[in-house]
Amino acid sequence: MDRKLTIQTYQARGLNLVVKELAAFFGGVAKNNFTIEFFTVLVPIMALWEALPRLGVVSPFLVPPPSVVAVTFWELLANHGYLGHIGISLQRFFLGLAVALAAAIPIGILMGWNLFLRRHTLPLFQMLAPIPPPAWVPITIILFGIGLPMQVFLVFLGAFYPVLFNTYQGVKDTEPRYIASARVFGASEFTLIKRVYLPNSLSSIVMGVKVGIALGLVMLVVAEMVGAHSGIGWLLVESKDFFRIDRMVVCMLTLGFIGWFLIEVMKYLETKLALWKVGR
Amino acid sequence: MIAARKITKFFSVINPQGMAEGSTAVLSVSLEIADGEFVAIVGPSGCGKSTFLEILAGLQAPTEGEVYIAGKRVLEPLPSTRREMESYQKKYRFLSPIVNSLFEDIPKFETAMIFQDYAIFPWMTALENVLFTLELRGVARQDRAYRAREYLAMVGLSGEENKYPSQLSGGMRQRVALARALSVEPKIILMDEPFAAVDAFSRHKLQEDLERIWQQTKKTIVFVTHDVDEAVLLSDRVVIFSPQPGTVRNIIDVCLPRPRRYCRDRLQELKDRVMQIYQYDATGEGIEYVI
Amino acid sequence: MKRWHLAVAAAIATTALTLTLLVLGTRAGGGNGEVIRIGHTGSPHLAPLLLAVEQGIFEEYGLRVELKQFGSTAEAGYALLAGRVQVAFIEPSTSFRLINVHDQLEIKIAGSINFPFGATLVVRQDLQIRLHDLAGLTVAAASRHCMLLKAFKHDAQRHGLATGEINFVYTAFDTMLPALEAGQVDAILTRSSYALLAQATGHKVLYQNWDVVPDDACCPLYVAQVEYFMLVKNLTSQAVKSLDAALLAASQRPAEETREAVARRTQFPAAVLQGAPLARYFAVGPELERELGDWVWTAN
Repeated sequence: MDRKLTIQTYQARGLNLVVKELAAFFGGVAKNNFTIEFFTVLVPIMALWEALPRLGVVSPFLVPPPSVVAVTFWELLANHGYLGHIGISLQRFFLGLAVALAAAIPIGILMGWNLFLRRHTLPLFQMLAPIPPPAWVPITIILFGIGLPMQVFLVFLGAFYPVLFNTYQGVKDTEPRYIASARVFGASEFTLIKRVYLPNSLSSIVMGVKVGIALGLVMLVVAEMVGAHSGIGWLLVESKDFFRIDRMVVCMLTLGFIGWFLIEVMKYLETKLALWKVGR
Repeated sequence: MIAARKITKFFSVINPQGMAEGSTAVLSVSLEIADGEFVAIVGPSGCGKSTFLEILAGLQAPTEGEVYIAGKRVLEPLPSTRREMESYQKKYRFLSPIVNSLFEDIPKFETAMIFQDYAIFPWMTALENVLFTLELRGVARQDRAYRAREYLAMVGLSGEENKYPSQLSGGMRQRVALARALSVEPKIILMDEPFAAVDAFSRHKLQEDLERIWQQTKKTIVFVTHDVDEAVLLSDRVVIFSPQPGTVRNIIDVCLPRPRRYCRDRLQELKDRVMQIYQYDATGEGIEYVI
Repeated sequence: MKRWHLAVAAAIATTALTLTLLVLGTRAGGGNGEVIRIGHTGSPHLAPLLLAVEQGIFEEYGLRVELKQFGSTAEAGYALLAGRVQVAFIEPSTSFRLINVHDQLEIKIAGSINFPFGATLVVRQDLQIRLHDLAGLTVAAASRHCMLLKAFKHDAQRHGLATGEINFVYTAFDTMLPALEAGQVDAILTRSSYALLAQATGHKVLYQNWDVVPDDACCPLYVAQVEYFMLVKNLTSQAVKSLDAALLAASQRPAEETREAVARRTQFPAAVLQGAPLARYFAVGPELERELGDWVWTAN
């Protein structure tokens, strides 16, 4: 373990590492998703989507073709501060996700680690979890009013349970032999959690976060549609009131892209974490 | 050194009538092992030898009996009456008795244990595994790396420190487990069928290395195996376990000089003796050596 | 390109074509003998329409008509866009949004349903107060310079009522009733058409002035009087002219019949209707034509 590095070489190494990781990430995304089979399906669909409204087979006002959608997207970016809306939506989403992760992961670890704690908390969570998150919206508005706390709370509600249950399962299912090995060597429970339970359950946690991201995005849109004055969800509803279907399509595609991208990041993290599983 | 007195392990379930039902894994086993001895425990699968070993290690509490290691008791036995059981369960309802402590690592200098599989942590490299046990033992940070490499060299893994267990063969993984056990510098090493999952060639080499290390470090080794050849080859005493319930059937001293690969016939003789005991128990035949 | 790639592309194309043909099939032209679908929201201010349907006036003018009710005028607007209805009664602001965006679609304004303008102060039903007890309460108005507010303050002064201690908040007309219901304001000063709707849920009228003439940015002339514009799309000239005539005729019928028709067709309580004026249908007049320009339907 060579620790004799100067600050500059450490920074250079850090930058190199970042660039390498980014290249690996985007390379992986391109290779896995943009395959020839995908284009075989995509190109005809895009062609139809462009052609049918233009030919008048479907009304171009109900089904805007991709060219119109692209123009609208550009116009929103340039004139209507679309980047600002995206930024604010992402801000709300990441705040809610952060709160959910900060709450669910420690609680999940504690629940998986200790039977006593689990017996006391699991039934409560299992009863609250099946309530579909959109059903929480009216009560949330009554309690929090309309604004950032309400939106963050709704995103939190969406992301909390998947992360909690996957974390708890991952910790619970750690191979008992590893725990016994560490205990025989005198490890305390804290060391056990930090060095044995946690690394073992990381892949479960990442899987839980993936599901949490998906549900969190759903709740973000719901929250913005009913209780916001900015953001992509709000723009979606505004466009509906103003009969701007092209803008609605832009909003939908943006949301889809954000969700897809976040999941790709998580999948990349998963492959990094599974390095030590290769070869099994 | 190790004194096990009347160890009984009974897995019980309280049925609706309030009676205990279950099976006896180990029945009234008493064993004394001196310092520096190499003791092998043989028996077919499921005869309770692994359970006995875990009780010695402090990973399970015996139903009756006590284990003293260097004069100190390892784990109080489970209570026998219902009332005691209730207060026992109340006392240990949050943390089980085999837990060391909540936040402080308590280095154990007496025993180290090696399992048959899942012995080392697959998310750490070989070097990191040994560093982990060194850290638990309380070795200062600067010395850890050097010491870890030392122990890995002792088991013959000098070039493989930075490989993950999934990249190592079965035999090499068990070597890492052995290095980990040695790094704690225990007085006793408990091994639960460590070479059972290793291929025959590596096993041979591992046995030789184990014997060499034992002779160099003079530790007490308790070695559980189902392979009588191995037991007779390596140990000073062979404890014969018989199943249902697990009891010590006999203890045979192996008074052959080391290295024993030159005493093939005598080893074969001893092995036959052990096997005949088992055959007698199973079928009642082969009465040449009656105990 | 392998052969099965082509097969996949062909399958997608066939599915898409089938779907579009289905969509096409749901359109209709509203020509001779075909059913004209009219979209509306079931409001009591659609009195002429409801009466016309009740008494079969459309049939007298040679039209076969089918009413479709929607939860909001925006939904009616989308139905009009998609061709599921050929006529829709939509509020002015929503109408402008619709026509603005889709002006190539030939959605035109062919008439309007008007309700007499007027200032009304409606107070929440659980507050048992009189006009003089308004001090310290929250009242919603459209804007600081609203004609209705000016009229109210003028009349209040004449009757010796101090308006300085009233807490005015400013919000759009269509958000006033929900705010009143939610308890965010104690009273609303609004157009009489909205006041009628408020009365239906039990709130009390404390002040009413029918002589206010709307003519400013807050209550512009034509918008103030119009409750709903009649928007048409894809209808023959004949059909539009017949619709126009039928609705005009319905507006001439006696008030009693109209009230009965409204009470039967909506959940609106008949008692509230008794004291109130009724909405009437008007064809697009010259002032509206000047303001709306080529958004007005013309025969061609």
